[in-house]
Amino acid sequence: MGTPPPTGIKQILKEALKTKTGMAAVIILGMMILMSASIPFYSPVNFVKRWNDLKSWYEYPSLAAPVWVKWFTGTNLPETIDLTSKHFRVTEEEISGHYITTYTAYFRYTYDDYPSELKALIKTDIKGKPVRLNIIFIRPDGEEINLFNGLVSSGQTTFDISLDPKLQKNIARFVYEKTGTVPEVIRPEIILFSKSPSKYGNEAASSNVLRGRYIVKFQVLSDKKISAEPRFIVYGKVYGFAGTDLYRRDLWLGILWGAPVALAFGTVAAIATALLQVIIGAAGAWFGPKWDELVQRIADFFLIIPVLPILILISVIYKVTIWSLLGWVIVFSVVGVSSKIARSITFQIREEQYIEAAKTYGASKTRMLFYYVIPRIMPFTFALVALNVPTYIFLEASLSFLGLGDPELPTWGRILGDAYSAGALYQGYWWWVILPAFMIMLVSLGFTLLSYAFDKIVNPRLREE
Amino acid sequence: MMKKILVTEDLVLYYRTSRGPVRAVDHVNLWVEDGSSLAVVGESGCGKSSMAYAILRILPRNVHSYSGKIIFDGVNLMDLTDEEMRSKIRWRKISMVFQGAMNTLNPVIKVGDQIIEPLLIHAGYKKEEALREAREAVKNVGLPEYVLDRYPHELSGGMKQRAVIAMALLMKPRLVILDEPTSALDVLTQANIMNLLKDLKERERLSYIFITHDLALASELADYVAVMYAGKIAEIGSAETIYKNPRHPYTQKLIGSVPTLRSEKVLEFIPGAPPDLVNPPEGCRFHLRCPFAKDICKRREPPLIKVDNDHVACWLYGGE
Ligand SMILES: Nc1ncnc2c1ncn2[C@@H]1O[C@H](COP(=O)(O)OP(=O)(O)O)[C@@H](O)[C@H]1O
Ligand code: SF4
Ligand SMILES: [Mg+2]
Repeated sequence: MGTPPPTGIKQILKEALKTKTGMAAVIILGMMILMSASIPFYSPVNFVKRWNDLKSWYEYPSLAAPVWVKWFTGTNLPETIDLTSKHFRVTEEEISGHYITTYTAYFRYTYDDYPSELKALIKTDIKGKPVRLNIIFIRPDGEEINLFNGLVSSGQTTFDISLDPKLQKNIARFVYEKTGTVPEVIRPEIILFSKSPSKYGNEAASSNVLRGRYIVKFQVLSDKKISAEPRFIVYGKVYGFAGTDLYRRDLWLGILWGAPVALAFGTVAAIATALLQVIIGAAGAWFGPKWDELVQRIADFFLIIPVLPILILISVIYKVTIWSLLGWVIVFSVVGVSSKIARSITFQIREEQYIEAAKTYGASKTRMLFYYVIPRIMPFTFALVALNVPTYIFLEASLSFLGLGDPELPTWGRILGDAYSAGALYQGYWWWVILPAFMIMLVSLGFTLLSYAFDKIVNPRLREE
Repeated sequence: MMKKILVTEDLVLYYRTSRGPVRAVDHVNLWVEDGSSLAVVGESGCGKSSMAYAILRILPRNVHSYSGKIIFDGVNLMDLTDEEMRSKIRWRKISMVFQGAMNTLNPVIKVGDQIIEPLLIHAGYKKEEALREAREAVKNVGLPEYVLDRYPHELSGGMKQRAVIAMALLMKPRLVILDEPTSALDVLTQANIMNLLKDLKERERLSYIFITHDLALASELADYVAVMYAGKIAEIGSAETIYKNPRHPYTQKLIGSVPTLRSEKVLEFIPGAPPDLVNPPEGCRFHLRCPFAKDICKRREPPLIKVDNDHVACWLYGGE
């Protein structure tokens, strides 16, 4: 004869930990919890706001792959080089009442591939009329390209070297002067970093990357002394542990943030619905056939209605947040499978001696229900709860994927939805899809393993190995 | 004469079944003298537990009829409402240790938390106060305090039985009904529990109804013995006479079938099967198995007649 199945909640958790599946589950879920707990160290308090404020991500490269891709491909893919004002050396000259302030910075470029994008920025605090600015780019081979020559006014000015047609014209002129031909497509980040800017068609090959010391100069010409903060960003092709998306957002932060959202949503939904279902199912069976009949018919109804389409409908009509979504999920699951389980177990418990005894010493029906019956049922729902967590995570992910989820919170589903609408997979931005999808799968795996572990302990049929 | 703490008159409890009413308790008259113990003895299925439930009005859903008088301390319990039974009688005045009492402990609640339930429910105790009482109560039944912090499955059968007895005594009731309190225990534990019960009776001046199918045990523990057969009382008298000088043929057979260490006797067995309580035989319910059955036994039910200081329901002792 084996030992009887454990009935206390603590006991079940303890036993679950002893099984291999339980251990695996705890490791996976523990990792998720650690990820969630690490958030305060990684991201600012107002992260959710920042995630949605696309302008705030300008210093990150767009669509950069994860850094570790380097190790797999063996090519030294470029990382972002950010020359901020503190990298620039300042020299001043005064020529006949005019001031020429020159900001010079250099960087070494040793990567096997071209940058993804170039940007120059300058912040000035001049009052009154604009000043003249000259941006000069000097390559290791000594070639000098005048990227910009014109007026800038006070405040921040951004030069999108890779996109701005005015700047591209300057670069085209450089190519023309060198080779006598004008390139059809002008990609400054390639031309400026290529050994032979002439053969544009082939020069995208990484063997053509010109390695060495590059110099960037900002020259400001004005009639009084000014101060300026120049900046030059050479965007890389890899970034961070999880890469970036089209909007330059650091996907790792999004994935980290997705963990607590998914865990909280999944577990709260699963536990709340299980509790409600058990209480209602048990109460029906406990208070007599009429209530039982009512509860069971409602349960049947809720079991056949398709929840996902209804939730889609609701989120199309009302804009949902994660909390209102949670509310709707609970509304549509107040009764269900666990009510049926609770009912059948209640019928068994009703005949138990300790219920008879409790009646004798005068416990009221409600007290018996909550103190004796429901705690007995809960362990039987553990496996189901654990199995339901990923179901609810999938549900949230599906809605977010369709763009119907919470519009604020970064969730894995939403990241996947963004990736899908940007055509990430066709374009080869696999990291944008695989990592969040992997996280969803991992958390599902964790809870499924946990469910198996619980099932083995609570279900006497599975106990007998 | 001593005061009677409990008297039942024509107590009836029939259950409704598809085969017809089960006459589990069929016009039972018995009494318990204050401060004494009455053992109710009979084969399994003869209605002993049903009688206990009838006294406490713990009825299943399929009651067919439930009537008679239950006079407890001068009050007819049949006149009380269900709520009065719940709040005034059960556990405060009459408590019960159920048959298979070890199963009356809820497996998911700590023993201590269960023992104090009556105090929380009836006496409005705070949990700490109740636990203090419970500590006393378990000591009283010879259990260490730590059992209060254990789950039922962590205790042995005997310990669980003691815990349940502690729970029954917790509110200092006048009468305790013990339904087969030792039948699931090994002999040694059984003896320990028996000594505990004897001891408690002296100390707490309790009255007991002690239900068992073991006549030897009954006469050992109880002052009086009532022998029950097929939902009826066959004989009721002092333990001494019932054991040494049984009058009813059924009691005689019952004693004959008890093995003893001292005398070399041939064990008897009672021929035939216990009667069906749905269709009990007419007349004396024992007549199909009785070696002394007379003509009248097949036609008319014998009343309970007084013989010396005892009572017996058998035509052999007159009453025609
Ligand atoms: N709820 C019930 N419904 C129908 N029959 C019952 C019920 N409870 C007990 N019985 C029957 O009543 C008879 C007496 O049972 P019980 O009082 O438990 O006997 P004992 O305690 O002497 O063994 C048995 O035949 C039993 O099958
Ligand atoms: S009444 Fe008759 S049948 Fe019944 S016990 Fe007495 S002698 Fe036997
Ligand atoms: Mg019984």
